[in-house]
Parts: sequence; structure tokens; C-alpha cells
Amino acid sequence: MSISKIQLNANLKIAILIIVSITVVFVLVVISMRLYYTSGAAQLDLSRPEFSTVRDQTTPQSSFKGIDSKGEVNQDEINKFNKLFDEKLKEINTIDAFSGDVLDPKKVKFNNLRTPQ
Amino acid sequence: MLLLTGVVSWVGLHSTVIAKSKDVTSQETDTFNTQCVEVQASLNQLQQSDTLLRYNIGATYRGMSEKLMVPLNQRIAATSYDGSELVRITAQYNKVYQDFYQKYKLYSNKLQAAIDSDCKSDIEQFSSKISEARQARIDVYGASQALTKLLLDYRNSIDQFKKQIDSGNEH
Repeated sequence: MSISKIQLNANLKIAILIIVSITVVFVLVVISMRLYYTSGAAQLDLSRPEFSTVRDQTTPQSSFKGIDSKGEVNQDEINKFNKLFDEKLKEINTIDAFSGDVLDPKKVKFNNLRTPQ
Repeated sequence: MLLLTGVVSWVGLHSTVIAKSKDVTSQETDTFNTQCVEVQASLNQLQQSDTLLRYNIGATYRGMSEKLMVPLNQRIAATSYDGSELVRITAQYNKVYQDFYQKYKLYSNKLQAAIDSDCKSDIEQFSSKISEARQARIDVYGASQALTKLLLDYRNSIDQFKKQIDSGNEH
């Protein structure tokens, strides 16, 4: 086999390797992006650029320790538990998440508008 | 939020007041286009605030289960008291939380579809997508209410459980 033919084969192999690598990477990216959107991660991902303004308004949860799964079960422990539970429950009731029908069409204010035909 | 409500809700009725007049001035077109941009901006704002809300409330809901209810159930399981009702409510709570998770995901996707649709070229489709997002948001609220109700049930069961401790009624 001539040197030029060997060189050609080597170049071809490198080209195939690059094409295959790019294809594999592309497929993996598509799969991961699909997983990202279908798993629900995308809907909660505050690191996305469009959420930069609200990112710092997150409530740190790591400070809440809760209770230990090992320990006694008596009136004192239950009372301690109730105190923590009531605090969190109050927090939830105060927020009343997703209340208010903000997309209700009846709350119209711009009813003088006309669609250009 | 009032502004947001007003601007966004305009879209719903808008389709019913569409003028069929052919003599539309460029000023009207400009006004319409401006309103479309405002509505889109409001939807973006709503998406941001709801994502933040979902993030925070989701963490609180999970914390209630993982850091309070489950550890207490484990403690009770190690004793001879009957904590079966508490375990049942916790299992139901975790199931409803998954439902809440899925419903929020659906709502978020529908809101994104409304944001992505072109208000200027197809107002009917735009209205329809907002309508779908509205229903999905109502469903999220329903799931959120169901979680709160289960938390109250758990709290009431704890009071019942305390009576069990008082009476020393071990299983």
C-alpha cells in the first residue's frame, strides 16, 4: 500500500471518528434536554437567565432542621413537634399558593381594543 | 399584580369584541401591537413570580413531609403506639404532592406555550392558550389546597394521638 493511500485511510478514519463523535454528542444533548424538560426540572430551574431577577428571593430551607427520626415519643416531644408543625402550616396558609384567578377573562380592563383586520 | 391581572385578563374577552371593520387606522394597529407586547410582558412576569412561588412552596411542602411527618412516624413505629392513621395521611400527602408537581409542570408548559404564541398574528389561538393556562393554574391551586387539607388532617390526628399517649393506650 502506498504512503498516500495510508495517509488517505488515516484521514478518513479521523473524519469518521469526528462525525460519529459529534453525532453521539448531539443525540446525548437531545436526550438530556428532553429529560430536562419532561422531568419538571426546567420548570423549577431558577438558574435560567429569565429568572435572574427573582433568584435571590428564594427562601432558604436548609436552616429548617425538623425533628430527628430517633427519639422518645411523649407529651413534651409531641408538643415540640406541634410547635414546628404549626409554624410551617401558618407559613403555608399565609402564602395561600396559586390562589387568585389572575388569568380570568372576566377581569377585563382593555375592552375598547379592536383587532386590526 | 392588579396590573398583571388586568392586562392578562384582557385577552380572554378580547376575542369577543373583535372589530370587523376594514377601516382600521395605523394608530389602532399600533395600539393593538403595544397591548400585545404588554400582555406578553405580563405573562413573563407571571411566569417568573409563579416559578419562584412554586420553588418556595414546594420546598416547604417537601420539608413538612421529610423533616416532620416521616421522622415522627418513624419514631412512633419504634414504639408500641398505633400510628397507622398518621402513616396513612403521610402516604396520601406524598401522593398528592406528586400530583401537585405534575400539575405545576403542566401549567408551566401551558403558560410557556401562551408566551411563545404570537398575539399579533393569531389572537384567537393566543386567547385559547391563555385559557388553557388559566385552567391548569386552577388545577395547581386545587392540588395545593388538597395538600393543606392533608396537613390539617395530620395535625388533627396528632391531637388524637396525644390522647392515646395520655391514656397510655399502647398497641
